Amino acid sequence: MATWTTLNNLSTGDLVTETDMDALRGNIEYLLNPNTASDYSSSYDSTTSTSFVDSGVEAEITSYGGVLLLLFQCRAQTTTDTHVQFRFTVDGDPLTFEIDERFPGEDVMSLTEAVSVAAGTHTVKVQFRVTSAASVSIINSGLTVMEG
Amino acid sequence: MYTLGITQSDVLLEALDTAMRNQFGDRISGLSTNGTTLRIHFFEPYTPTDETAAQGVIDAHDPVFITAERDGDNMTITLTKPHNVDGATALTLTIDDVAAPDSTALVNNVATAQIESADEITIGILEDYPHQEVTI
Repeated sequence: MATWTTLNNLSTGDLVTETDMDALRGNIEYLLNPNTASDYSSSYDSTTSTSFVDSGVEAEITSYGGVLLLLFQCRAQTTTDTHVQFRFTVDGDPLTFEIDERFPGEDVMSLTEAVSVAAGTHTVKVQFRVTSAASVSIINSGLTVMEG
Repeated sequence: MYTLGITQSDVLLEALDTAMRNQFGDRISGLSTNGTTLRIHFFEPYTPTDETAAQGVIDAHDPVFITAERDGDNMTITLTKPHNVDGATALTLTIDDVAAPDSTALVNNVATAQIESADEITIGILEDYPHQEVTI
């Protein structure tokens, strides 16, 4: 797998070495094949929780430091008329954007968000909740984390 | 959030949620399940006493699952009582809230009945077990 290398800060008159060109080539290859992590499941997870709880959908990615693009989609089913909400957490910290939809029955829900992270390994989770006495089940869920 | 995980399958989550809230009140935000593990979400750390109480609620949970298949006017109704906590030997169907004249025997925790109706009907059970009615 291609890796990202911080390039030397060359000045006029500096010699461009094989190491510099290898690093440049590696970075181009890295951009062509972005670092990604994913979690796909056809099974279901359900909740009656009115506070955000982990849905079981999560992925771990090791980043070079920068922006992560988070993409989540699922089919959600409810038994009664209620609001269903989703959000991401990164290393346990919730991101500010939440998606909220009210429906009885079944619908496709998706959530997309970009977040800046430091270099290192990060765990991205999808959390969900309902806002009234009801339950929501999510099936055919997919989470993709992509380093930009 | 403090989450207690207990292995348990075949639950009617909303009915079990009601029973669990009767036990713990505002101390929990609700339940989650992935089909094999039940998760109880406590707002504060739970105790071994809480674990025992939660297990008691789960052990008493005795749902009936209703499925129905229609082929024209003919319907096959299947009632499944996977835990059968009280050892029931029969269940009584309701059709549009009217009890069937006879009960249907449970064999290995499963009961099957045949119904004929051209109209859409709602299937339930007379007995007071957690269940979700099916309209077909």
